[in-house]
This record gives sequence, C-alpha cells and structure tokens, in this order.
Amino acid sequence: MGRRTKGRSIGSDLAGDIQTMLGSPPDLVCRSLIPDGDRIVQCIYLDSLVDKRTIDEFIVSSVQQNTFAEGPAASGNQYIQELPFTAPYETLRQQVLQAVITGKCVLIDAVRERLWLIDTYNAPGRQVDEPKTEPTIRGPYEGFTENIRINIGLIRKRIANPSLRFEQMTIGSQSGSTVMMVYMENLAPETLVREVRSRLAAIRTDSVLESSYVEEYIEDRILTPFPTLLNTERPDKTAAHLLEGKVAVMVNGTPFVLIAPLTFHELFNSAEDYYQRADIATFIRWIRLISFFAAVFAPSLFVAATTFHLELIPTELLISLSAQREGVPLPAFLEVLLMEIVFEIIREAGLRMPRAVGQALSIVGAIVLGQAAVEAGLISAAVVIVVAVTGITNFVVPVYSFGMSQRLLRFTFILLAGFMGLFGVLCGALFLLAHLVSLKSFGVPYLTPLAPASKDDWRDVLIRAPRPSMKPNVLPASIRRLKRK
Amino acid sequence: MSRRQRAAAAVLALCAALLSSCWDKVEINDLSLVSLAGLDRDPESGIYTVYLQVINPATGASAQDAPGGEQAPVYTYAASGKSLAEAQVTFYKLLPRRMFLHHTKAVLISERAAKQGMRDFLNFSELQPDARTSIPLLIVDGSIDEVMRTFTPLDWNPADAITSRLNLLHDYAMMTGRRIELRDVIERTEREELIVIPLISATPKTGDHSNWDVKAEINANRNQLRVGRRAIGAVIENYRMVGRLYENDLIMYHVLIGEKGQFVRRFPFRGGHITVIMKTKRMERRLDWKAGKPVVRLRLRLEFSTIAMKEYFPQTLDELKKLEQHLNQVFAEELKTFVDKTRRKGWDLLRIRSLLHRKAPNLPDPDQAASEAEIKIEVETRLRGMGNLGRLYDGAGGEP
Repeated sequence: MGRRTKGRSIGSDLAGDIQTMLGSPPDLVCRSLIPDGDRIVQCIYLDSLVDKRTIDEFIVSSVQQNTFAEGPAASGNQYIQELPFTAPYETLRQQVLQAVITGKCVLIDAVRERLWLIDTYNAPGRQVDEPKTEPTIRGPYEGFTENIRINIGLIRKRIANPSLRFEQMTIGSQSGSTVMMVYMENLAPETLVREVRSRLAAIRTDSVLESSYVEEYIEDRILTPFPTLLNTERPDKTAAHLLEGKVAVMVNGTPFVLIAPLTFHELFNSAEDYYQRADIATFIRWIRLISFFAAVFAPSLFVAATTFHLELIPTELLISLSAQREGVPLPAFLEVLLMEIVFEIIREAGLRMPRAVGQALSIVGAIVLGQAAVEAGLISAAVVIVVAVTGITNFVVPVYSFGMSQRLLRFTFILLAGFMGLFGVLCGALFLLAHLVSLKSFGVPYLTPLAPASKDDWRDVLIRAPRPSMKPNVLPASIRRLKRK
Repeated sequence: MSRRQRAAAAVLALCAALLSSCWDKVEINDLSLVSLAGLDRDPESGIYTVYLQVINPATGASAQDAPGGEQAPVYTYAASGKSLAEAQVTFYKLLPRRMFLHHTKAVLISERAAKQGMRDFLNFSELQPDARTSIPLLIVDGSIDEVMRTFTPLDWNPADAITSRLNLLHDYAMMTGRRIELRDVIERTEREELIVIPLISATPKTGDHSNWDVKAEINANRNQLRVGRRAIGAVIENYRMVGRLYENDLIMYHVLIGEKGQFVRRFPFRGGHITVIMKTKRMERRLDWKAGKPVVRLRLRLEFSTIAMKEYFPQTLDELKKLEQHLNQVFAEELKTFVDKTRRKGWDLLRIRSLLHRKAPNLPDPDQAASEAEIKIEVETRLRGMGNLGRLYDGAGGEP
C-alpha cells in the first residue's frame, strides 16, 4: 500500500485498514467522536479485550468535552502513548494494528494530526483462585491466573522491594505472547539473568500458548524425563524462589510460572513445608522420598523378586504369593505390565472425561475392575496392591510434572526387571544416577547440594531444619555457585 | 562415533537385552517350595532315602494360617537312590513341579545316618547352588519316616513349628544353642570342635495319625513332634554322632560354651532345694600354665532372679550374699562334675584343644596337653530380679 497524502483522512483510512486486516471481527469497535463541529476523532478498540468502563467514562467523555489532549494525554501518563503523526503510514498502521490486538484503545485526531494509544487492556479471565495442582492446608490459597497483570500483582504483593525487576518481551511470531522475566536485581546472579534473557531472546516460534512452550526452548536438555525448570502456580512459592535469587518466567495466558534453576531435591519440597512445624515437615519430606522410590521401583522390584529372585522373598510371603497365583494364567511380568497400562488408561480417561463421569469411571476402574479381575483369577491380588500403591505414591510428590516423569521411569524399570531381574533394575538405577549427575539446570548441577556436596545446605534438603537454625540472607548452594562464576 | 552409529549401538544394546532375557526366569507356580528336608541311609544296603516336605500353596499354609478345606498344608515325598543325586532326580517321578530348596527351614537326619557320618551329605549340600546352609540341622530320635509324616498343631507347617521351638528352647531353657546350622556344623567340625545339635522325635500317636483329622485332637502332647525324648542333644564329632546329652547336661554345656539365654535350675540348699531362674551374662576363658601343664580358667557371670524361688526368700543383705556364695559354689561344682564326666568320655566339649592350638601353636602333642589340662571354673552370680512378695507366706500347707 503506498504512502498516503496528508490531505486524505488518515483516521478513516486507518480504521478501514484495521477492519480489513482483522477480517471485520465482531468485537472491533470504530467510534467517531465529535468534540467540535468540524473535528472527528476516531476511537478504535477491540471490545473483547478492553475495559469498557475506562473507555466510556474517561476517554470518550474527555474527548467529547475536548479536554483529552490537555488532560490525561498531556500529563505524561504511562498508559498513554502518542505516536508521531508524521511517521510513514505503513509504520503507523502496523503500530496501530499491534496496539488494537493487544487491548489498547487507539484515538486518531486527523485534524490536529495526533494519534494516541491508550492502555485499556482488560481481557476476560477468571479471578484469583486456589491453585488446582498445588493445594495446601496451611498457607495462602491464592494461585496465579491466566492474566499476567494479576500475576505480577500477586508477586508484588509478596515482595515489596524496589529491586524486583520485570522484563517484558513478546514471543511468538503469530501469537505475539507476552512473556515476563522476573528476578531480584540484588539477589539473582548476573550470569543467570543474562542466560535466561538470551535463551528467551533466542526463541523462534510462531506461538506461545503455555509456559511449557517456553520451557522446551530454554531448558538445558530435552532428552530427559526430569524437569529442569520448576513450574508452579503458587505466587508464594514463586516469591520464595525469587528471594533465593532465582529467575521466574511468566507467560500471559497461563497460571504456570517457570522458575530456574531447579535442583533435584527441590522437586520434593512443597510450599507447605515452610508453613508447618519443622519436625512434621521433615517427616513429610521423607514420606515423599519413600513415595518416589515406591512409585518408581515397587512394580519392578516385585517383578524381579517374583520372577528371578524367589529366594529373597520371606517364606511366608512366598507361600501367600504362590497361593494367590494358583490358576493365574499370565506370568508376573505381563500381569504387572498390563495392570500398569490399564491403570494409566483409567487415570487418563478419568482426567479427560466430564468431571462427574470421570469420578465414577475411576471408582469403577480401580475397585470393581481390580476386584473382578482378582476374583476371576486373571490377576493376583498382590499385583493389584502393588499397582494401586504405586499409583497412589505417584501423587505424593508436590510437582505434577515430576509425577509424570516417575510414570515413564516406572515402565522402563518394569521392562528391565522383566528381562533381567534385579540385575536389570540395578543397571537401570546406575544409568539413572549417572544421568542425574550429568544433568544441569542453567549451569547448576542437578544434584546440588548433594553432589557437588554443600553440607551447609543439607539442613533444608533431607530435613527441614527449624527456621532459627537456618542462616538468614544466605542464598542456596545453586545460586552461590552461579554467583562465583 | 557419529550420531547414526550411536543410535545403531543403542538399538543393538536393546536387542541384546531382549535376547538375553528370561533364561533364569521362573514362575512361582512352577516350583515346589520345600520347607523341610530329611535324610536317611540304610547302613546295610547303603541306600539313601531323601524326604522332602513340600508346602501346598493352595491351602495358604503359612505359620499364621490354618489350612483350608481337606487339603494337607504340606505333602511329604520320599525318594531313594544309591547316591543323593540319584535320590534327588528320582523325586521327579513323583513331583509335578521343580524342586525349590531356597526356602528349606530345617534339615533332619536320622540317628542311624548320623552315626554312620554326615560328611557326604554336608558336602553334597554345600555343592548345591540353591541349597541354604543357614538352616538348623537336627537328628531324628526314632523313625525319620514317622517324623516326616507328622503334622504339628498351631504351626501347621512342621518346619515352622520346629524352628520356632528351637528359638524358644534357646531363649527360655538353654536346651539348644544358636550355632546349630549346617554351616556351623561344618565350620566347627573343621575346627575340630564337638557340636551338640538337638534331637527331634514324634510323640505317641492316637487314632489314624496319617489322616489330617488329627487336627481335631485336643491332646496336643500326642500326634505331633517334640524336640528330644529323654535325651535332647546329639553329640557330633567329626561329622559323626558319638553320644547324647540330657536336659541338665545340655544346659551346662550351653552355659560353658558361652551361649546367652536363661534357664531354670534346682540347687540343693539347706537340706532341701531352691529353684532359681538364671541368665548368662558373660563367659571368659583364660589359659595359664602350671608346672608346664595347661590350666584353663573359666569365669562365668550369671544373674538370677527369685521369681521362681518359692522355697526360700533372703530377707537381709547378708542372707543374699550367702545365697549368692552358695549358688556360686554349687553351680561351679556341678559344672566341674559335668566337665569331668564328658572328658572321661573323651569329649572335648569345652574346645580346649582348639584353645591350645590357638594360644600355644607350638605344643608337640596338643591332644595329650588337652587331655591333661586342668579346668578351673569360677561362677559369679548376682541377684537381678525379685518377685512381688517381700516375704513368703508361712502356712503349713506347702510341699513337704
């Protein structure tokens, strides 16, 4: 489209072009306001993304009273940006288009040759609600929402510190999603901030609809079952990590915030650990550790012991298992594998089905199906117990994505146990350990502070020491390590 | 290594895992779980008879569970052969499932086989990769066939019934020792020690004892197994049974070899007897030399309680001291008498020979020195437990 001459009405041209470029959407509003008899001010915005009250009560009224240019627009308001009218038409149109689709209201005064972009963004979304994936008994019930503005507020509410920094960037050539990097300037290591910034800047994608899109681009290694970035929907947890010098990445449109770097032991920590008494928190932390091992190794150890190493099983238990297996047609390995697959199917179906039906399905699947299978002699009762215990322990870890990792690992270990018994499980465990040791999250070894060892930090790893015995203002080993670089 | 080569290597490794799979894989239901093994050898024909008691899993017969229905909790199979290996393979004429010996809880050997010598059996047992040697060995007093075909009340699995009562007899009566497992017999014999292992026998039978209906019998002293009949211990020397020990002797033997446990004993006291519950605390052995001859000093520390002492109750500290001194003296004399008796039979139950071998390896004739060694026994007892009474009632209605 060529350059327009000044004599033509840029206001009506722009309005027309925007309408055409957006495909005449039903929520596009182009209002012509008449402050004077000879002057028309075009007001363009997307009805679905703006705060209509602000537009009606402040913008429209001040334009019609002819006080807008002298009033709010003149006061250097950060929500109002004026574009130079003399700029090339193409540039102006592009900027206006971008402003409209990001929830801004565009005012074009063609006669006086002025153009304002006013931030009136107020997209529909749910209000602050309890976090769905990380509920706690004691502690704040607020969770992040899909609205990044609200999320910023939830963090600011907890950290009233001038060093808190928010760096905004737009990622996604098609979606143009707002991504925000958050950190404490005085605590976060410069190397970490620079690394996160550069990794975010290097993302080349058409869309970012959830933080996992960003996660896959910026994590250190893709081929690993373990998450190397923590995702949380808890503002208190995010604030705690920011105060430890970590960097958070927020994406508009999702309540899940990414936090880097992440170390393995943090996957076992819940926000509630710090809201409970130290002894209780320590006990629960150990329960989580035991649950992790049970979730990953229980079925494989059962298969290995009942298929290859019967001499390891106590005699009474062996007799009991033998009695249960009388008449069961499948070998133990296939029995466990099939039950685990069925359990995963039931779980997935329960998640995807409408809520009311889903619950019924879970109950039918877990109890009726299991009991019927045992009674029919298809499956031994011990296998049902092992699979059920494994399924339950899977949900004990506070980070949902880590629970998914455990499911993958469990199947790998079942296969190893089925083919090679305890030898296979041991090989797999050694391989897993080697993999964990080699993993890094933004340059921090994944097993910090266990390997490399930092004994001072152990009081918040396997135990949660009472708060007075923890040194204040001491950053975790992972961050101290980055600061030394 | 290029990426493609690495991928190919990974695929090959995975395939190798598949190929190498399952060669030693077993299913529980393909096994016959042996809980008790027995061995007999006819001294005339030299034919071995091996007994295996196999758990019937259909009954869920564990130590806790009662068997269900009319099925027996265990089945006893017997097979004979000129060698143990032949007898072993002969089992497959009868057994529908693979023999699984890992869970065997005890091994019984008939008295006549033990008297001929158990070396070959122990060697055979040690050679088997799947045989356990951490299980007790017992000698059968009477017919091994009868013992192997006898059910036990309460603990439906006879192997469980035997092992649990061995533990109880050790802890509360000191009539068995801890080191009576197959490996102990081997290790101790290789050190030229004598070993005393328990004897087991079947109690008298009433009715049709081969029928599982004996479970309806209220008299539990019949139709079951018991450790010992009159004699409780078989003395084993160089893999061969050479004699027997009776209850009191057996207690003293276990006290003298330093076993830990408690026992009840009656001692002569002021013209009558007193019943004392004693607990062994420590046993020290020291080798001295006197006129070129070895002197073995045994120093025993025991604790006793008056809980069972209904005959006499010390009222003062002085009386208590006197009681302790009396017990020290009487028990030391009894122990000395026991030691002398066994030495006269040529049994070195106190392992004096191995002590000399360890402390004085250059002795020209250790056997001679061991037989000439003087034994000195010191006993030190201390009161550690009392009953609920401060003094005993004096009424006339007691034992004469």
